Amino acid sequence: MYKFTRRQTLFAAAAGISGLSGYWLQSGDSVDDDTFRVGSPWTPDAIDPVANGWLWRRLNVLEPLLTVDYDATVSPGLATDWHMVNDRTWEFTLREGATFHDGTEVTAETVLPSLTRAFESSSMAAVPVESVEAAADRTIIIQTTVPFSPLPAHCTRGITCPVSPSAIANDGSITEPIGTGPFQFEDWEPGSTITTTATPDYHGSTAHIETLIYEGITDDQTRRLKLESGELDMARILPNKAADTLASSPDLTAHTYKIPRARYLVFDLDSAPFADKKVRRAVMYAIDRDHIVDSLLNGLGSKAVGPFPADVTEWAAELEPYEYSPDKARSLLAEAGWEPDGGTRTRDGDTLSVSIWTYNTRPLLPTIAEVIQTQLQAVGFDVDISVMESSTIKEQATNGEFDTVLWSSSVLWYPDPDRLSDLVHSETETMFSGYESEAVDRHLEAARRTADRDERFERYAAVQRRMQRDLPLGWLTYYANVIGTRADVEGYQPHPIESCYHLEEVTQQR
Amino acid sequence: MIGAELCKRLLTMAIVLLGVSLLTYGLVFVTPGDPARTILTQQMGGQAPSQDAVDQFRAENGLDDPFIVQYARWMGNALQGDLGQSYYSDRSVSDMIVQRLPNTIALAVASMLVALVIALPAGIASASNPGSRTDYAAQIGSLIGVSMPNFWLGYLLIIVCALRLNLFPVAGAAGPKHLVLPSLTLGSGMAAVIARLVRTAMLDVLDDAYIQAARSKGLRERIIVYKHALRNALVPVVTIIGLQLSYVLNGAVVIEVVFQRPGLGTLLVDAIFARDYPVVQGVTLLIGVIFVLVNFAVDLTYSRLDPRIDLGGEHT
Repeated sequence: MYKFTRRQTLFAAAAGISGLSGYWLQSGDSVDDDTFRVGSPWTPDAIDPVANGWLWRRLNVLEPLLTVDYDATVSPGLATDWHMVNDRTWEFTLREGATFHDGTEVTAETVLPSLTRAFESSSMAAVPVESVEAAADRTIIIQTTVPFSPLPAHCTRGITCPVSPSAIANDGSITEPIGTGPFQFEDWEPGSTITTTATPDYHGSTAHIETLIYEGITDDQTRRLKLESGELDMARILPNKAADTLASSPDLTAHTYKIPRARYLVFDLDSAPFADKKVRRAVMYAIDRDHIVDSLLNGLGSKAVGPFPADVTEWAAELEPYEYSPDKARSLLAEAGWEPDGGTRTRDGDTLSVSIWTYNTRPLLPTIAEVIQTQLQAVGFDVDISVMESSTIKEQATNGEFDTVLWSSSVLWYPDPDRLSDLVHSETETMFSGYESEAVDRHLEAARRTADRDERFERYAAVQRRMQRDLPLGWLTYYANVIGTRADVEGYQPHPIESCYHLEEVTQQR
Repeated sequence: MIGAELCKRLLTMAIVLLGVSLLTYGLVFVTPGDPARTILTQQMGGQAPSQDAVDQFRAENGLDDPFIVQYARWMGNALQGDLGQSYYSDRSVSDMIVQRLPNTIALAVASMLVALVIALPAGIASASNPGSRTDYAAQIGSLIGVSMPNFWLGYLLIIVCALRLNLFPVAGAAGPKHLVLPSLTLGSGMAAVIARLVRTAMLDVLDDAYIQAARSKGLRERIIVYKHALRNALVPVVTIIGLQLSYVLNGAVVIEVVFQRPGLGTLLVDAIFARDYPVVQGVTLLIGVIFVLVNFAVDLTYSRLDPRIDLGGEHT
């Protein structure tokens, strides 16, 4: 019988593999000295600001009328000045000397098509804009259908960023993101990378890095490994536990910073046990949030008191926190008629059974749900956890019954406390608790009517206090972001709401 | 005769594809998760849209129409070669597919090459010497290959070959260099399956009377193995290679995510999570077409490899 020697077999296999891998030498992807590579989880699949404006904004290819400062307040952008003319009319004055990347001057006429397009899109449907007009060479007038003081905050959103009129095709589609920012569009591979270069005649200070390459890398391990291998200069949104490993490497730096994003429970106010405020309060007393921060979040982030983290934004009201106290939880449950019966409490023959719905596209939510489950069981709840897709939860919770949902969202993604309307206004809320309070609605609507900061602060503080008492939502923890960079990257300052990475400030010594 | 059979085949293929499209369209449709809400959330950088926004989006995209109307509209356009526009990016689905397809094809071909280069020699060697050390080594290798999750192998290869040895890039799709680790990852899993099959098929064939006859005539073993046995043993192997294409497409989903390759797998996964119906439908239809065509190609190859198998089936 013919025998293949082991050598022959190995040789055949090795020849094949090396034949295939042999030509890797052909393609060089040497790292260019003036190229900066940043990786984040979102893959670029659209050029249109309406679909993907927030990403082009983050890369600073597009710039909005107004920007967000490092203290999460609205500050000048392409418009240097803005004010309320009357309670439904806003006037914006455009910057002088700014041009689009194709040389077109930034004027009221040239930004108008983009603004109109943005305000007509479905993503902006909740912003009650009636008309956008060019009043003079550098003056834009925006009219709203109702008094709406959060308008400037919405003008910081990527979707509203003007692109050059030449970038808008006859059918209204966008052919290229020709913006005004310190970086200009060079090339992209859909689903993978965006290449930009420094804008030479930028109206502000020119970027230090010459080429900026953005890579969308869904998998966080891959992002971290690419940073370690030097294929990335910055990897964004890494797991909390990566912070220690990054910090211990001499080649890498970890940037950790707090952001106005919170994890919270949304209670269904129609659900049998949670219709009773005492039961909701009992839940808040039963959860040890310090334990969650220390053991699951690597000590990054902090326990939440209300919607806004006080160390990130000035809109946080002083609220009385729900401190961890299982005893208080037990007595509240007893007051509500839920008596101990073995491990689980009962009332009139019903057991105190609740379900927590959550999703796993935000890491750790299911794990946090398990910790909450254990802590609630300790005071007499019977808790069941369902992990579903976030859009499924949203749909089912909006249209049907649930007990509670463990959710995560930014509380200032546009920098205005009117975000509270999305959470608790009886008509415009998107968080499905079914909460209705005339007083809350009244404050929210009045706060929209005035541009007076102090009055607005008082009203939003009143809303926060009432939310704290009524508990349609139970605040658990705030987030911290972990960003890794190569150690030679300098000048990076994390932005609290990430509306822009500001990589034009970054330098790199190689 | 063969012409009529081909027509019949093509008709069956059309019916199968229609069924596939109806089924996937229906499944996506009944899956919970409102596309309007999901896509707006994505367009707004992850924030929940208002009810007004959702209503406006549904109206603009015809999502309020009954299922059958939406399906008929989509199918009608698809038959004219128009797979529609992505809800999210507004780009043409055909363009998106054309853009991503080369990356997946490159991965599929390279993985299949890796698989065959490992599997054929390993399978033949172990069948030629059953019970030998080579045989055991190949079988253990196969078992490991089959059992190992490919994302895990992917990370392992990244850590060893990219970070420690610095031979290949961690991830990306910039050039052929970026293809090596993903195709090794995906190919080695397939190699394991194919090697086992080659071994079994070869053992079967080597037992056949005509091989005994050849041996008794004193033919050289190398000639017997390669000229006489291998050809017949390849018939089931070709089938499995066809079936393995599904493995490539499944595996591509995970591998493309780990190795950050913009291919059909990542396109499909992103579209499913985004409830981007037109993209999901377009990619699924394409995958359906590929499957049906590959099956057809496999059948054709049969008759080339073994003339006793005839597509006509009536005059044998």
